[in-house]
Amino acid sequence: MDLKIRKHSETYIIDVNGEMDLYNSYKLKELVMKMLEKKVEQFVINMENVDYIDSSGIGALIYICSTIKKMNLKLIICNIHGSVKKVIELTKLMGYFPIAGTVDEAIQKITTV
Amino acid sequence: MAQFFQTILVNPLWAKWIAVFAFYLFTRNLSLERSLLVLDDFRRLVLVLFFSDALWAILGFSGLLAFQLPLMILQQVFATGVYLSILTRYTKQNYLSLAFLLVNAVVFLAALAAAFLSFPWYANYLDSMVIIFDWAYVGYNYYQVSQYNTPKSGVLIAARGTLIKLTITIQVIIAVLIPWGGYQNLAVQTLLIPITYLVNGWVLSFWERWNYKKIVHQQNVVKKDLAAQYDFMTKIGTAITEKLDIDQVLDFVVKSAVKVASADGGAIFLVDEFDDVLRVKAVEGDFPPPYEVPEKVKLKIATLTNYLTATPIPLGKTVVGECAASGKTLYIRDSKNDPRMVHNSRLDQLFVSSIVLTPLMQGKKVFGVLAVVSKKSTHLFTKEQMEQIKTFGDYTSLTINSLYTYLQLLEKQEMEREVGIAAEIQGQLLPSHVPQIASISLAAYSLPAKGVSGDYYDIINIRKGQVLLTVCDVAGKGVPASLVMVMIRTIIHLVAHQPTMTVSRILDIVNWGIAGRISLDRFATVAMLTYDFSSHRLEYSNAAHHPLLVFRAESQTFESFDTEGIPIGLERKTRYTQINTTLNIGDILILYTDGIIEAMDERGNQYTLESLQKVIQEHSGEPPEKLKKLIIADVDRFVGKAKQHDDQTFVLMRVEH
Repeated sequence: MDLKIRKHSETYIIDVNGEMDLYNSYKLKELVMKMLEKKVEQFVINMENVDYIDSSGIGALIYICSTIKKMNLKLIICNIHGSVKKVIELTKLMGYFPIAGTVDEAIQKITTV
Repeated sequence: MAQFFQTILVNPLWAKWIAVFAFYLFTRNLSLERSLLVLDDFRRLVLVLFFSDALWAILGFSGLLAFQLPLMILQQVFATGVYLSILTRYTKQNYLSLAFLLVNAVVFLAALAAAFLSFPWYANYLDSMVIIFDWAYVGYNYYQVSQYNTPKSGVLIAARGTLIKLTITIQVIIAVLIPWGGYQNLAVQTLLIPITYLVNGWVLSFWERWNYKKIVHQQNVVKKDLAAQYDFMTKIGTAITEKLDIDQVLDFVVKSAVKVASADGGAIFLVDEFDDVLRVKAVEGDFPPPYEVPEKVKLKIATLTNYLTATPIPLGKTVVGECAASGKTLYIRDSKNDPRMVHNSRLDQLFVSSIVLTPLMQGKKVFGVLAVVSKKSTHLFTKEQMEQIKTFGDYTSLTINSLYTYLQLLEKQEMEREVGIAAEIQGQLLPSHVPQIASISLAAYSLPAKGVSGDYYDIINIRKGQVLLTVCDVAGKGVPASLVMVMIRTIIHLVAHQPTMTVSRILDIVNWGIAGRISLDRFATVAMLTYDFSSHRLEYSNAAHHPLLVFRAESQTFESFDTEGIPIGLERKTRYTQINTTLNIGDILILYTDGIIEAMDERGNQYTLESLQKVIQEHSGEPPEKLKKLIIADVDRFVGKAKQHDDQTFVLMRVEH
């Protein structure tokens, strides 16, 4: 798994590439924690290039999501598709995660809310 | 005829010719640097002198003594011309000026005229004067050479004193001796002129010695360099094996770099990928920031140190940022004349006289910068020191890269070891045998994908005539996941036996007991049901697990049951609901985890729920234990040689009567 950060005004977009599984999901968690330390307040996690996620990956997303919620900061996860979407639906977490279709929608949502 | 040979034998020209031969034989072995065209110039010069001397002698024998003077002028113009062309080659400027050529041409014509006018007395003086003038001109130009305007000026500067002074002195002596014959004087012919030939030889041998010295010096530098590198490599190796600590390695690198370059201070900056800045990581000695700092910061050493550590440098800004952005070594030998160091004032305590910065790279990515500074204006870093720092940087990059790889490997090993421990814990969690109950038959299967399972199932006789089945999938693996499993199992076993308990209530309690006590990424999905043998009543509740699948024997169809609710462990206030249904004889129910229906073949196709249903339907008459084996066989056949990365677990139950 490979993580890249880009910035759109105040929003930081994390592009996740590859599989999110037991052996690498912690990387995303660590990155977000580091960004929180640096006082980043708006996050978009782009899952466009993630085709496989296991329960550890979901766990990482839950962890990130709840941490950001607790701090009253903003997070949107976007471009969830294929088996990733199926797993999230199965675990009935579609409502739990703040979700948007595309990165643009996510940015729009984050800046208007 | 005898007279002719006698003249030849006692001719003073022999002295010259012997000098020329000695010179030629001597320089034949001076082939140390064939690439130096200068060497060939000198050789050609001496050969030309030799042949023109022969011409000179022939003129003398032929009684054309007067024509010796114009010949001598030509000789001298040629000799001085060679010296000037050497200069031209080194400095890329043309030294053969118009005035020089004009003076020589005029005097040559005058001497030629004098030869026809039967040799007036002043011709010798004219000749000597112009020769001295020529050498003075050469001398003047040689003294214009300095290390600032000429590369490899060393040899020219070292040789010019002897060369110019000796030649001019000899010419002056010859001029003074004109009343006693001048060039025709025996002493001049046999002593002075051969000396001017030998001057060329001396310059050449000097040249060779100079080159040799340079090579020896380089060798010494290389030797010293090698010793320092070797020392550095062994020590860095030891530092790694002892502590596996990157910070310590960086500290060591700065210390060594400062020592080897005799620097006043050094530092390592690391790139913070997140916001594209560099932060100082290790500092050694006196390392003033090599960039502009606010005036008030300069007042105290403490504030300065704070400033250095607290102020990140954007990539591309300042010399440090420039080095990181370009990925190239930056060498500012003398900060005095460098536009990048304009803030740098000699009066300032932050003065830096010389600085070398080299990038630390991982592949093509710069992850840091190693910098050393000198504060003394008498000590500027040499090119060799720069190269050494560069090598240190390269080696450090290599070391840190392998250290990272090693740490990752170690982490993975640690993870695998943990997985082993977890597997042991887990072995004791799962029921050791499937209970034998008269009215139903049961079968359970659980296969971990990589040593330890994140799955857990249980079959519990909760009350007389009631059984509880549950399947649970905890996110993650290893000891933490196993501990969550232990917690879930403990709670279920504690509360399930209570008479008023329902499955949804059990899930509520399990969730309530766990949420907030475990790390959120250790959530679990749990499916749970109870079955009453006498009433055939089934109660089912689901915390985000796969739906319950029921095969109805009568209609030969499948029914799927699901309830609302997010996974266990996320939010304390979650409440679960339940569904009730009645089972009939021959009905089969199955609880399963992802690993079954998402089992993949080599092409990445999934086994799917439909395949599972098909097997069950085709063999619905078989006892569960047999059915279990058939399902396993079917999944295995489908999967082939593909490696599974999810655990496979299912529990089967069939109503017998």
